[in-house]
Amino acid sequence: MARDEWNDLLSLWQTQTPDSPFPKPDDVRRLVGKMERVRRRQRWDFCVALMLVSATIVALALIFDHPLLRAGAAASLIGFAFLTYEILDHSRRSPRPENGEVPSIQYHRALLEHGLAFHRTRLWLRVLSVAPGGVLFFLGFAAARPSLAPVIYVELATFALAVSLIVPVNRKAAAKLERQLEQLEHLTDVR
Amino acid sequence: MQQDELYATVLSTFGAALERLARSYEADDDKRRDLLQEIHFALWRSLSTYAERCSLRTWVYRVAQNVAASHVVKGRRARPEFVGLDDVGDLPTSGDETGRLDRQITLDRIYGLIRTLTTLDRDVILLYLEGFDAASIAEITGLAATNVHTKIHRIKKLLKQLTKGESHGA
Repeated sequence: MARDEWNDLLSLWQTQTPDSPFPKPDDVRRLVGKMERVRRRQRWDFCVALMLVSATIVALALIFDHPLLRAGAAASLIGFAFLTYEILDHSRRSPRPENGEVPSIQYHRALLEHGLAFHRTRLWLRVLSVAPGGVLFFLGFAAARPSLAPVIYVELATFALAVSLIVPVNRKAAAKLERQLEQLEHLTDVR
Repeated sequence: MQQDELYATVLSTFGAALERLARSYEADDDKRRDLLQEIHFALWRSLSTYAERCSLRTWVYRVAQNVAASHVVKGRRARPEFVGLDDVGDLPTSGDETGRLDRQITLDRIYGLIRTLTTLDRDVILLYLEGFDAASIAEITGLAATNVHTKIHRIKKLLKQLTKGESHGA
Protein backbone atom coordinates (compact mmCIF):
# COMPACT_ATOMS: atom_id res chain seq x y z
CA MET A 1 0.00 0.00 0.00
CA ALA A 2 1.53 3.32 -1.05
CA ARG A 3 2.06 6.17 1.40
CA ASP A 4 -0.80 8.15 -0.17
CA GLU A 5 -3.15 5.22 0.32
CA TRP A 6 -2.11 4.94 3.97
CA ASN A 7 -2.72 8.62 4.43
CA ASP A 8 -6.12 8.27 2.76
CA LEU A 9 -6.99 5.44 5.10
CA LEU A 10 -5.89 7.33 8.19
CA SER A 11 -7.75 10.39 6.96
CA LEU A 12 -10.86 8.29 6.36
CA TRP A 13 -10.62 7.02 9.93
CA GLN A 14 -9.89 10.31 11.56
CA THR A 15 -12.54 12.35 9.73
CA GLN A 16 -15.53 10.24 10.67
CA THR A 17 -18.45 12.38 11.72
CA PRO A 18 -19.40 11.86 15.37
CA ASP A 19 -22.84 10.27 15.82
CA SER A 20 -23.92 12.53 18.61
CA PRO A 21 -22.91 15.86 20.10
CA PHE A 22 -20.34 15.70 22.88
CA PRO A 23 -21.73 15.90 26.41
CA LYS A 24 -21.42 19.26 28.09
CA PRO A 25 -19.20 19.44 31.20
CA ASP A 26 -22.19 20.70 33.21
CA ASP A 27 -24.26 17.68 32.17
CA VAL A 28 -21.48 15.23 33.04
CA ARG A 29 -20.92 16.91 36.40
CA ARG A 30 -24.64 16.79 37.13
CA LEU A 31 -24.99 13.13 36.13
CA VAL A 32 -21.88 12.01 38.02
CA GLY A 33 -23.12 13.93 41.07
CA LYS A 34 -26.50 12.23 40.75
CA MET A 35 -24.90 8.79 40.55
CA GLU A 36 -22.80 9.48 43.63
CA ARG A 37 -25.86 10.72 45.52
CA VAL A 38 -27.71 7.51 44.60
CA ARG A 39 -24.74 5.44 45.86
CA ARG A 40 -24.60 7.38 49.13
CA ARG A 41 -28.36 7.07 49.48
CA GLN A 42 -28.17 3.28 49.01
CA ARG A 43 -25.57 3.04 51.80
CA TRP A 44 -27.71 5.25 54.00
CA ASP A 45 -30.86 3.23 53.23
CA PHE A 46 -29.01 0.04 54.22
CA CYS A 47 -27.98 1.55 57.56
CA VAL A 48 -31.47 2.90 58.23
CA ALA A 49 -33.09 -0.44 57.36
CA LEU A 50 -30.66 -2.25 59.66
CA MET A 51 -31.34 0.18 62.51
CA LEU A 52 -35.11 -0.08 62.06
CA VAL A 53 -35.03 -3.89 62.06
CA SER A 54 -32.76 -3.90 65.11
CA ALA A 55 -34.97 -1.40 66.93
CA THR A 56 -38.06 -3.48 66.14
CA ILE A 57 -36.37 -6.64 67.41
CA VAL A 58 -35.30 -4.92 70.64
CA ALA A 59 -38.76 -3.38 71.13
CA LEU A 60 -40.51 -6.72 70.65
CA ALA A 61 -38.09 -8.42 73.03
CA LEU A 62 -38.79 -5.77 75.67
CA ILE A 63 -42.55 -5.71 75.17
CA PHE A 64 -43.09 -9.47 75.15
CA ASP A 65 -41.15 -10.87 78.03
CA HIS A 66 -40.13 -14.35 76.95
CA PRO A 67 -36.65 -15.85 77.43
CA LEU A 68 -36.58 -17.47 73.96
CA LEU A 69 -37.57 -14.17 72.35
CA ARG A 70 -34.89 -12.28 74.25
CA ALA A 71 -32.23 -14.87 73.44
CA GLY A 72 -33.25 -14.74 69.78
CA ALA A 73 -33.18 -10.92 69.76
CA ALA A 74 -29.72 -10.85 71.33
CA ALA A 75 -28.38 -13.48 68.90
CA SER A 76 -29.95 -11.62 65.95
CA LEU A 77 -28.34 -8.33 66.95
CA ILE A 78 -24.96 -10.04 67.24
CA GLY A 79 -25.53 -11.63 63.81
CA PHE A 80 -26.46 -8.27 62.25
CA ALA A 81 -23.40 -6.69 63.81
CA PHE A 82 -21.22 -9.42 62.32
CA LEU A 83 -22.80 -9.03 58.87
CA THR A 84 -22.42 -5.25 59.02
CA TYR A 85 -18.76 -5.68 59.99
CA GLU A 86 -18.26 -8.09 57.08
CA ILE A 87 -19.76 -5.62 54.59
CA LEU A 88 -17.93 -2.57 55.97
CA ASP A 89 -14.64 -4.48 56.18
CA HIS A 90 -15.06 -5.63 52.59
CA SER A 91 -15.72 -2.05 51.52
CA ARG A 92 -12.75 -0.75 53.53
CA ARG A 93 -10.36 -3.29 52.00
CA SER A 94 -11.57 -2.57 48.48
CA PRO A 95 -8.63 -1.96 46.09
CA ARG A 96 -7.93 1.64 45.15
CA PRO A 97 -6.29 2.87 41.95
CA GLU A 98 -2.56 3.10 42.59
CA ASN A 99 -1.58 6.52 43.92
CA GLY A 100 -4.81 7.95 42.60
CA GLU A 101 -3.51 7.36 39.10
CA VAL A 102 -5.25 6.00 36.05
CA PRO A 103 -7.61 3.13 36.89
CA SER A 104 -5.94 0.24 35.11
CA ILE A 105 -6.94 -3.22 33.97
CA GLN A 106 -4.91 -4.52 36.94
CA TYR A 107 -7.08 -2.38 39.18
CA HIS A 108 -10.22 -3.74 37.57
CA ARG A 109 -8.88 -7.29 38.02
CA ALA A 110 -8.11 -6.58 41.68
CA LEU A 111 -11.68 -5.31 42.14
CA LEU A 112 -13.10 -8.49 40.61
CA GLU A 113 -10.84 -10.67 42.77
CA HIS A 114 -11.83 -8.70 45.85
CA GLY A 115 -15.51 -9.22 45.06
CA LEU A 116 -14.90 -12.89 44.34
CA ALA A 117 -13.22 -13.39 47.72
CA PHE A 118 -16.24 -11.86 49.45
CA HIS A 119 -18.78 -14.02 47.64
CA ARG A 120 -16.75 -17.22 47.95
CA THR A 121 -15.56 -17.29 51.54
CA ARG A 122 -17.26 -17.56 54.94
CA LEU A 123 -20.70 -18.12 53.42
CA TRP A 124 -21.81 -20.63 56.04
CA LEU A 125 -20.48 -18.38 58.79
CA ARG A 126 -22.80 -15.65 57.51
CA VAL A 127 -25.71 -18.09 57.48
CA LEU A 128 -24.87 -19.24 61.00
CA SER A 129 -24.55 -15.67 62.20
CA VAL A 130 -28.19 -14.85 61.48
CA ALA A 131 -30.05 -18.18 61.25
CA PRO A 132 -30.08 -19.33 64.91
CA GLY A 133 -30.97 -15.89 66.27
CA GLY A 134 -33.78 -15.47 63.75
CA VAL A 135 -35.24 -18.91 64.42
CA LEU A 136 -35.09 -18.41 68.20
CA PHE A 137 -36.64 -14.97 67.86
CA PHE A 138 -39.60 -16.15 65.79
CA LEU A 139 -40.16 -19.24 67.95
CA GLY A 140 -39.98 -17.07 71.08
CA PHE A 141 -42.35 -14.54 69.54
CA ALA A 142 -44.83 -17.30 68.68
CA ALA A 143 -44.54 -18.64 72.25
CA ALA A 144 -45.09 -15.17 73.68
CA ARG A 145 -48.09 -14.44 71.46
CA PRO A 146 -49.78 -17.78 70.66
CA SER A 147 -52.70 -15.99 68.99
CA LEU A 148 -50.30 -14.66 66.33
CA ALA A 149 -48.43 -17.95 65.96
CA PRO A 150 -49.72 -18.86 62.44
CA VAL A 151 -48.64 -15.49 61.06
CA ILE A 152 -45.32 -15.70 62.89
CA TYR A 153 -44.65 -19.18 61.46
CA VAL A 154 -45.24 -17.82 57.97
CA GLU A 155 -42.69 -15.10 58.78
CA LEU A 156 -40.32 -17.76 60.09
CA ALA A 157 -40.69 -19.71 56.84
CA THR A 158 -40.00 -16.54 54.85
CA PHE A 159 -36.95 -15.84 56.99
CA ALA A 160 -35.72 -19.43 56.53
CA LEU A 161 -36.17 -19.09 52.77
CA ALA A 162 -34.23 -15.81 52.71
CA VAL A 163 -31.40 -17.30 54.80
CA SER A 164 -31.29 -20.43 52.67
CA LEU A 165 -30.70 -18.18 49.64
CA ILE A 166 -27.54 -16.62 51.11
CA VAL A 167 -25.25 -19.41 49.92
CA PRO A 168 -26.66 -19.93 46.40
CA VAL A 169 -26.95 -16.18 45.74
CA ASN A 170 -23.33 -15.67 46.79
CA ARG A 171 -22.19 -18.65 44.73
CA LYS A 172 -24.01 -17.29 41.72
CA ALA A 173 -22.37 -13.90 42.19
CA ALA A 174 -18.98 -15.63 42.58
CA ALA A 175 -19.54 -17.60 39.37
CA LYS A 176 -20.34 -14.37 37.52
CA LEU A 177 -17.19 -12.71 38.82
CA GLU A 178 -15.12 -15.81 37.95
CA ARG A 179 -16.48 -15.63 34.42
CA GLN A 180 -15.60 -11.95 34.18
CA LEU A 181 -12.10 -12.62 35.48
CA GLU A 182 -11.64 -15.42 32.99
CA GLN A 183 -12.78 -13.12 30.19
CA LEU A 184 -10.52 -10.37 31.40
CA GLU A 185 -7.58 -12.81 31.31
CA HIS A 186 -8.55 -13.87 27.83
CA LEU A 187 -8.98 -10.29 26.66
CA THR A 188 -5.62 -9.25 27.96
CA ASP A 189 -3.64 -12.46 27.63
CA VAL A 190 -1.05 -10.85 25.39
CA ARG A 191 -0.49 -7.94 27.74
CA MET B 1 -6.04 23.57 35.56
CA GLN B 2 -9.49 22.91 36.96
CA GLN B 3 -11.44 19.74 36.35
CA ASP B 4 -13.94 21.66 34.18
CA GLU B 5 -11.27 23.19 32.00
CA LEU B 6 -9.43 19.89 31.65
CA TYR B 7 -12.60 18.12 30.68
CA ALA B 8 -13.45 20.81 28.13
CA THR B 9 -9.96 20.34 26.66
CA VAL B 10 -10.47 16.58 26.57
CA LEU B 11 -13.79 17.02 24.77
CA SER B 12 -12.46 19.38 22.16
CA THR B 13 -9.26 17.44 21.55
CA PHE B 14 -10.29 13.83 21.98
CA GLY B 15 -14.10 13.82 21.80
CA ALA B 16 -14.32 12.39 18.30
CA ALA B 17 -11.54 9.87 18.96
CA LEU B 18 -13.35 8.66 22.08
CA GLU B 19 -16.44 8.03 20.01
CA ARG B 20 -14.39 6.03 17.52
CA LEU B 21 -12.90 4.08 20.41
CA ALA B 22 -16.37 3.29 21.78
CA ARG B 23 -17.47 2.20 18.32
CA SER B 24 -14.47 -0.10 18.11
CA TYR B 25 -15.46 -1.81 21.32
CA GLU B 26 -19.22 -1.96 20.96
CA ALA B 27 -21.23 -2.60 17.80
CA ASP B 28 -24.67 -2.15 19.32
CA ASP B 29 -25.82 1.50 19.13
CA ASP B 30 -27.50 1.69 22.55
CA LYS B 31 -24.69 -0.12 24.33
CA ARG B 32 -22.17 2.08 22.56
CA ARG B 33 -23.90 5.19 23.85
CA ASP B 34 -23.79 3.67 27.34
CA LEU B 35 -20.11 2.86 26.95
CA LEU B 36 -19.33 6.37 25.73
CA GLN B 37 -21.19 7.78 28.71
CA GLU B 38 -19.24 5.48 31.05
CA ILE B 39 -16.01 6.68 29.48
CA HIS B 40 -16.98 10.33 29.92
CA PHE B 41 -17.99 9.74 33.54
CA ALA B 42 -14.73 7.90 34.28
CA LEU B 43 -12.73 10.65 32.61
CA TRP B 44 -14.55 13.34 34.52
CA ARG B 45 -13.89 11.59 37.82
CA SER B 46 -10.28 10.75 36.96
CA LEU B 47 -9.43 14.31 35.95
CA SER B 48 -9.85 15.41 39.55
CA THR B 49 -6.74 13.34 40.35
CA TYR B 50 -4.81 14.13 37.17
CA ALA B 51 -1.43 15.36 38.35
CA GLU B 52 0.39 15.67 35.01
CA ARG B 53 2.58 12.64 35.74
CA CYS B 54 1.86 11.67 32.17
CA SER B 55 0.49 13.63 29.22
CA LEU B 56 -3.22 14.35 29.13
CA ARG B 57 -3.42 12.34 25.92
CA THR B 58 -1.92 9.25 27.58
CA TRP B 59 -4.21 9.67 30.57
CA VAL B 60 -7.33 10.01 28.43
CA TYR B 61 -6.58 6.97 26.29
CA ARG B 62 -5.64 4.79 29.25
CA VAL B 63 -8.83 5.63 31.11
CA ALA B 64 -10.97 5.19 28.01
CA GLN B 65 -9.37 1.89 27.04
CA ASN B 66 -9.67 0.47 30.53
CA VAL B 67 -13.31 1.44 30.78
CA ALA B 68 -13.95 -0.06 27.35
CA ALA B 69 -12.18 -3.31 28.23
CA SER B 70 -14.16 -3.54 31.47
CA HIS B 71 -17.33 -2.92 29.49
CA VAL B 72 -16.53 -5.84 27.19
CA VAL B 73 -15.87 -8.12 30.16
CA LYS B 74 -19.08 -7.14 31.96
CA GLY B 75 -21.21 -7.38 28.87
CA ARG B 76 -20.35 -10.88 27.75
CA ARG B 77 -21.93 -14.02 29.10
CA ALA B 78 -20.13 -16.56 26.95
CA ARG B 79 -16.37 -16.77 26.61
CA PRO B 80 -15.47 -14.23 23.95
CA GLU B 81 -13.55 -15.31 20.91
CA PHE B 82 -10.99 -12.55 20.71
CA VAL B 83 -7.78 -13.21 18.87
CA GLY B 84 -4.34 -11.67 18.61
CA LEU B 85 -3.15 -9.93 15.47
CA ASP B 86 -1.20 -13.01 14.43
CA ASP B 87 -4.29 -15.20 14.61
CA VAL B 88 -6.61 -13.14 12.43
CA GLY B 89 -7.82 -15.38 9.63
CA ASP B 90 -8.75 -14.50 6.08
CA LEU B 91 -10.40 -11.15 5.82
CA PRO B 92 -13.11 -10.25 3.34
CA THR B 93 -11.76 -8.31 0.41
CA SER B 94 -13.59 -5.93 -1.81
CA GLY B 95 -12.72 -7.69 -5.05
CA ASP B 96 -16.29 -8.85 -5.58
CA GLU B 97 -17.78 -5.52 -4.69
CA THR B 98 -16.29 -3.40 -7.40
CA GLY B 99 -18.28 -0.27 -7.91
CA ARG B 100 -20.08 -0.20 -4.60
CA LEU B 101 -17.32 -0.05 -2.10
CA ASP B 102 -17.49 3.19 -0.23
CA ARG B 103 -16.07 4.77 2.84
CA GLN B 104 -18.62 3.22 5.13
CA ILE B 105 -17.95 -0.31 3.97
CA THR B 106 -14.25 0.18 4.52
CA LEU B 107 -14.86 1.63 7.95
CA ASP B 108 -17.30 -1.14 8.85
CA ARG B 109 -14.68 -3.69 7.93
CA ILE B 110 -12.04 -2.00 10.02
CA TYR B 111 -14.40 -1.82 12.99
CA GLY B 112 -15.33 -5.45 12.41
CA LEU B 113 -11.67 -6.44 12.46
CA ILE B 114 -10.91 -4.39 15.56
CA ARG B 115 -13.81 -5.88 17.53
CA THR B 116 -12.40 -9.39 17.06
CA LEU B 117 -9.04 -8.50 18.60
CA THR B 118 -7.77 -8.79 22.14
CA THR B 119 -7.73 -5.56 24.11
CA LEU B 120 -4.08 -4.81 23.64
CA ASP B 121 -4.17 -5.35 19.90
CA ARG B 122 -7.30 -3.23 19.70
CA ASP B 123 -5.52 -0.48 21.56
CA VAL B 124 -2.53 -0.62 19.24
CA ILE B 125 -4.57 -0.60 16.03
CA LEU B 126 -6.83 2.17 17.32
CA LEU B 127 -3.92 4.36 18.32
CA TYR B 128 -2.21 3.64 15.03
CA LEU B 129 -5.32 4.70 13.13
CA GLU B 130 -5.55 7.82 15.28
CA GLY B 131 -2.14 8.77 13.95
CA PHE B 132 0.04 8.00 16.95
CA ASP B 133 3.64 7.01 16.37
CA ALA B 134 5.15 3.86 17.83
CA ALA B 135 6.73 5.67 20.78
CA SER B 136 3.39 7.22 21.80
CA ILE B 137 1.60 3.91 21.40
CA ALA B 138 4.25 2.27 23.58
CA GLU B 139 3.78 4.96 26.23
CA ILE B 140 0.01 4.59 26.31
CA THR B 141 -0.15 0.80 26.17
CA GLY B 142 2.92 0.07 28.25
CA LEU B 143 4.31 -2.16 25.50
CA ALA B 144 7.95 -2.17 24.47
CA ALA B 145 8.56 -0.02 21.39
CA THR B 146 9.90 -3.02 19.45
CA ASN B 147 6.76 -4.94 20.25
CA VAL B 148 4.68 -2.02 19.00
CA HIS B 149 6.69 -1.91 15.78
CA THR B 150 6.03 -5.61 15.23
CA LYS B 151 2.33 -5.14 15.85
CA ILE B 152 2.13 -2.12 13.55
CA HIS B 153 3.78 -4.14 10.80
CA ARG B 154 1.13 -6.82 11.25
CA ILE B 155 -1.64 -4.21 11.40
CA LYS B 156 -0.50 -2.69 8.13
CA LYS B 157 -0.63 -6.09 6.48
CA LEU B 158 -4.13 -6.70 7.82
CA LEU B 159 -5.38 -3.28 6.77
CA LYS B 160 -3.87 -3.75 3.35
CA GLN B 161 -5.66 -7.06 3.02
CA LEU B 162 -8.85 -5.46 4.29
CA THR B 163 -8.83 -2.58 1.85
CA LYS B 164 -7.43 -4.56 -1.07
CA GLY B 165 -9.30 -3.73 -4.22
CA GLU B 166 -10.73 -0.48 -2.92
CA SER B 167 -8.83 1.43 -5.49
CA HIS B 168 -10.34 -0.78 -8.18
CA GLY B 169 -13.82 -0.05 -6.95
CA ALA B 170 -13.32 3.69 -6.60
